[in-house]
Amino acid sequence: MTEVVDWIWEAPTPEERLQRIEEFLTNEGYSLPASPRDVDRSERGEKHIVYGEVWTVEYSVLDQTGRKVYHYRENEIDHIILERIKHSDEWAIEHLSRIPQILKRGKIVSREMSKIIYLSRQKYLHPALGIYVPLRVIVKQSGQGRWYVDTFHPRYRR
Amino acid sequence: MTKKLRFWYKANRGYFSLMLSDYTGKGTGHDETSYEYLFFPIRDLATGEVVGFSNDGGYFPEDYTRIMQLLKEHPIRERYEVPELGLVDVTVDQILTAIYEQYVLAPHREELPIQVEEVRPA
Repeated sequence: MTEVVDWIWEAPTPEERLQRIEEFLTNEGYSLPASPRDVDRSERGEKHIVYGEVWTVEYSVLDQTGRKVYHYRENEIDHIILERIKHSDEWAIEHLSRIPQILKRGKIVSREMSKIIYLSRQKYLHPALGIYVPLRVIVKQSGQGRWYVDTFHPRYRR
Repeated sequence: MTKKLRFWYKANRGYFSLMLSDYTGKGTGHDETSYEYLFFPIRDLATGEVVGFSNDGGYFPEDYTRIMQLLKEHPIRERYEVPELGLVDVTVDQILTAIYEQYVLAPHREELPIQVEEVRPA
């Protein structure tokens, strides 16, 4: 899997990396999900600085406490999706569109000053293993005070 | 024979990932057991075997001290090789210390002005 990650990273732009990701997912029998419904796209395309990088707003969503959480295009491609591929979790990429639902209805399992961890109440079927796996979303607060989806990954359950 | 880990580090977000370089399983999950969501053993979903580590969602420069405390309380005995860090036959806490020294401390050392002791003529 590490060779695949290197090959994706060789593409110079996020969009070209996404093309390679789509090619890889297709070969593996997976696909990118449709963008979620029931989110706010009024700021789509706006640029924010996070981690010293310029990131593009894909959508925002109000979580269960009314907190506005942004989801960024570059982070979805270059961190969330690539980390899932790095960890052989490409099946979970098909559930990226569940992030707003987990923020709205998931269980908050940890809350710190600038980091909140949500766990899905629903468990999702791993198609190859035939087991149901909960998904975790971690949101953080940027230096500018905005909350954003930092990462999304399957949780291990015994 | 020790297991070989592939290493990645994103300095701006203080994120590291270590994965068995020969992992061929069908999927993994992040196990938060005992590490307060600051550090995750990554386990194969089918076998439960630890196949990697990450601090996804954390910030390693700030979390390092606490992670090391937690690893003392809940040690991981397995030994690994991490070629990118020049490490052979080491434990996880030794790997994290190497990451901290090479990717957190070392860049700041280079930023510090070099202090040259003045040599007075006799």
